[in-house]
Amino acid sequence: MTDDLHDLNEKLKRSAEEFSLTPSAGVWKNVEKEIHPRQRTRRLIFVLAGLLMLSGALTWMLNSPAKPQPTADNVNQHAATAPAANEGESAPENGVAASTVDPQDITGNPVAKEEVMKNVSPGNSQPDEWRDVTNKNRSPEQARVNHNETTDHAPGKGRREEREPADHAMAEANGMKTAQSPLPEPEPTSFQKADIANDNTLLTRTISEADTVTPIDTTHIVKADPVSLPVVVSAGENNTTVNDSVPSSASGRFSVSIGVMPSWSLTTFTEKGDYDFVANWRDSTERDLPSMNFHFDFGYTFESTYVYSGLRLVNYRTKMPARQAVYRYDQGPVTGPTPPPVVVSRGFDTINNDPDGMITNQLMYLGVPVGIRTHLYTYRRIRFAAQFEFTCYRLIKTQGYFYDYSTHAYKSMGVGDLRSWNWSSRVALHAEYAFNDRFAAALSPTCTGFGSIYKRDYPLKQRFSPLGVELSLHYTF
Amino acid sequence: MSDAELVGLCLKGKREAQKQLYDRYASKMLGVCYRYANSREEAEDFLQEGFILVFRKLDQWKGEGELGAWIRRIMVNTSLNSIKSKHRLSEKLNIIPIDSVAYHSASEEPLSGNELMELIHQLPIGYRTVFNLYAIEGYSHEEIADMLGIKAGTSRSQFTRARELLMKRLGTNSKNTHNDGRLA
Repeated sequence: MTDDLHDLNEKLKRSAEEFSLTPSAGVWKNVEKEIHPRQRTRRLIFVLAGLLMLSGALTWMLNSPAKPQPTADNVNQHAATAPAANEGESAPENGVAASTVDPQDITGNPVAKEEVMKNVSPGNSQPDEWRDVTNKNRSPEQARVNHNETTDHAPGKGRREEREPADHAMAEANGMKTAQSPLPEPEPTSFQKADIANDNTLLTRTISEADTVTPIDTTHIVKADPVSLPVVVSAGENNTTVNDSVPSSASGRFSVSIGVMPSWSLTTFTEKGDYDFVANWRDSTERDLPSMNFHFDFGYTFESTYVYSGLRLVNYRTKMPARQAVYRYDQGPVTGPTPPPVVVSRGFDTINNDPDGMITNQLMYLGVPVGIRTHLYTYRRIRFAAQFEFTCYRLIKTQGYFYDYSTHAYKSMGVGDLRSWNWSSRVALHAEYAFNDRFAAALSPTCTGFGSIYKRDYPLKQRFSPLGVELSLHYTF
Repeated sequence: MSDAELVGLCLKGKREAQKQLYDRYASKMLGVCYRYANSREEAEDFLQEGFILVFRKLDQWKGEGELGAWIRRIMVNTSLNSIKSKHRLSEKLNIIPIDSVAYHSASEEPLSGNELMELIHQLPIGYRTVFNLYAIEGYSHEEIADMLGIKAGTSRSQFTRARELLMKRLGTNSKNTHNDGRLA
């Protein structure tokens, strides 16, 4: 009998060694999902980095000088053209014609500047010919007066038409591009005009028949009434007529904004210590649900930057299978060269006594943001901007279940079980369309990153990152 | 590729290496899990949990022993903890009635390995667990007692009963095999 038992034991051991079964394909799929959960976070970081690089590249491209640098020769030609243009009957009554010159073109080129100085009167050859034009604290009424004054001194539209052939011929003879050349300069859009107005370092130079230089105040470009009054900025080749509305985000004005953001969150888990949270159980995986978020902002525009604060109402919803497994690992009692880790505690399929169902967890936060939006690019009534925001949140509502590590079981979740205060950082690309002087609508693809929802001593970190498109309406006072 | 090289690649996060490691051991480990599980589906649950643990704790394998043995112990521990929490194993070990059965020799009609495993799988969960741990995994009764939260004496008696029941079934099996040519 002893021999039989020994034989049986040996046979059992041998059979057990040889015994194998082929697992179904879903097992590896689930294992893989669990061991590579941070891939999503990594992907998110890449997307964010890409967005930031794109924003940076756009900003750099738009801020770098697009026009060719003038040489001493073509500056001379500019100066020489002005008197010729004023020779006809279209010459202004005070004998002043003006042209707007990009200061960078001249100041950055000493030779060019010297050449220009040769063409101005000796009495006016000092740097005060280049004047900073600021447009702050100017009312629309003042602007209208200025506009009328300026148009009195500047050539009118009809007179300009009479002058055009001479201008054009002379310019072509000099190989220059004029306002009537085959490739005319495009008219600035409302947003572009606002940008010009916001640029208080704009320098203008005027050249009279007698080579005197008179600065032209361009304030009226922005402060002109939205009514379509033709406003001539300057005579010469850069005549500009303002007949568009002023954008809602002009500098020095307060704005309010209200909007919604449908979003979908990416959730990441990080275990601390020896705990392990297995959210993926067989074919039932935890998944995030779409949520609706709301905001109200108020802000102020400085130059090309909008600074704002307000209120945020953020919802985070996630669905998880009722059958969950939570482990705590430790080294087991097994002796050997490398003792394997052993599960010493485990929460399992206890949520709501429903091992096959799904549970929806929901968190609601109320937050106060501080944000900044900087303009990147303007095209007609559309403006693109990059937005960065930091928000401090208070948890105001919870619904669902969470794992209690002290009792090793899931329990109903209350506000006090999670971190009361939270924070988020957000980046967005902001596309705004101005309907008129006051109203605008915006669409902003947005990516937000939240801090962990759990308290500091909880052995699990759970962060969510809502991705969404914010739709908002803006009103500017 | 050796186990050590494979583990090195897995620790670097190479997915192909992880899949290769899984493919190398999954079939055998499912066999281990199946001996402790009530069904094949439950065995796959244990296998999934076990491999998640293997990959997360792979850095703890120092290369001193066989990787297969290390993974096997993880599978056994994972299975044990699962059935402990699911089936309240310590209670089941105590309530199973003592079944005095006659001894039948297993040597008269040899069974294949798979058939033998199937017989073990048909044992009640309490018997099966102790029998697997003692007769196949080679743990001592003290270690089994520690792992399952029972007394060493209970482990000994459970093993004896399990063996007796298995022998009885082997005898029945022999008779059935003789009668109709298939397993009971």
